Amino acid sequence: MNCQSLQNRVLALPDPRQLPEQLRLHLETCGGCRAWWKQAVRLEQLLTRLPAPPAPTEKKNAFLDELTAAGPVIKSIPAVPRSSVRSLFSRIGRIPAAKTLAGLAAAILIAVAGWLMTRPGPNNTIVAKEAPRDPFLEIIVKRDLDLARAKSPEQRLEALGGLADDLSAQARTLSKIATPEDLRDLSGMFQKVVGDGIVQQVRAMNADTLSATRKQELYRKLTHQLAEAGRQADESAKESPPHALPALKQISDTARKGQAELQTILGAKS
Amino acid sequence: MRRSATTTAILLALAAWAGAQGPRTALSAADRVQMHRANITLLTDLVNNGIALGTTDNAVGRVEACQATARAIGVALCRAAEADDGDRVIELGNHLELVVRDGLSPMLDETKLHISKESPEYVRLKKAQENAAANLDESIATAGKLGGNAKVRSLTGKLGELREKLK
Repeated sequence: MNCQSLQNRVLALPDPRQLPEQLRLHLETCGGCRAWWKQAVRLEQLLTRLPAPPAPTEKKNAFLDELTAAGPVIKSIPAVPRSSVRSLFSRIGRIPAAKTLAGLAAAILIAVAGWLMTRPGPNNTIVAKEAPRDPFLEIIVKRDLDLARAKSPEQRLEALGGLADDLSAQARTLSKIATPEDLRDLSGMFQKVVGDGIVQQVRAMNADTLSATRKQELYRKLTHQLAEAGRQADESAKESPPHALPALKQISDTARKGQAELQTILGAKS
Repeated sequence: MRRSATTTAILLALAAWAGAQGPRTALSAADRVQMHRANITLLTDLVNNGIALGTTDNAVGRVEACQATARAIGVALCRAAEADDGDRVIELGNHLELVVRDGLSPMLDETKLHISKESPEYVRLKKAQENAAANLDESIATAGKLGGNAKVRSLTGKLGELREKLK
């Protein structure tokens, strides 16, 4: 069994603390997987400890006090004389709209019975539980669509900045549990978007044609975005397992390098 | 009479609303990791095509980059159909529909208005359009293998309408 296979099997367990013997044997001999497993267990424990909002006890007590302030609600239980079936029906018959209600009840009963008789039987029932969709894939598809619809280079730059943010956020989300390879994919994509996308696009925009104010504005916006991505990667690194650090550091370094390059190209002052 | 009818109508509406609420399941970190692994090839293609879309000024080049995005999704869709994974076919088919309907198709229409039919650029544009149509044909045909799935049938119907627009 290799490390990837072990990690996939641990992820599929209902509780990663309850390890089958086969997986336990691998963990005893593999330090990397042991560290990863400890993170998975920690994550599971943290999830179970998520706080639930407390019940509004004061409101409940105030409501009960208000109800009981005027004394007991039911003071005595009246004796109910037994009645015959005939008198029961005749009394129901005197209730206003009793016939309408009875008709409605009958209609509902008939509808339910009809549905039970006509619904598909067990042989041809297809109860398909739809698999969850990848929210990150959806984000990236929409980002590509934004880039396709962007009319000006500045709009494209904005969408590229968003794409870089998406990748950095996904790396942080997965940093506690994904493998170094998974995280390297994301940090590599982030690096590409910043280097081949944002910096390249700013360079191609012929900065000389932009007004000084516009340059300053553009610089401020892009560098703020990159600085934020770098700062959050650094923050996330403090709480992530050691194997996640190289990818998060790459994101942080790329963000800083991008900021420096933008400053050079736009000649703007921070 | 009116009161009981109104009450019944309200109760039925509430019951219908409650019944329509599907179970909402939050994705766990483990689910996200598995999805990341399943989609990494497609994600890489989409990010690369996104960079191309973000750095290309030439209108035909942008159409080609958008077509490459649609192509990447189409390829993933065909793989999912071959693996008989109906849910994934629907997920990817919806993405493909979105990209072609709101991205590629309007870009093609607009670009055609601004370039001469005699120019080499127009030849490139026509080629991109043919490729887009072929991509949709392949996606529709491959997804059609899951014809027993009503949602897939509805999806291929929508993709077929888009295919007609690309003629």
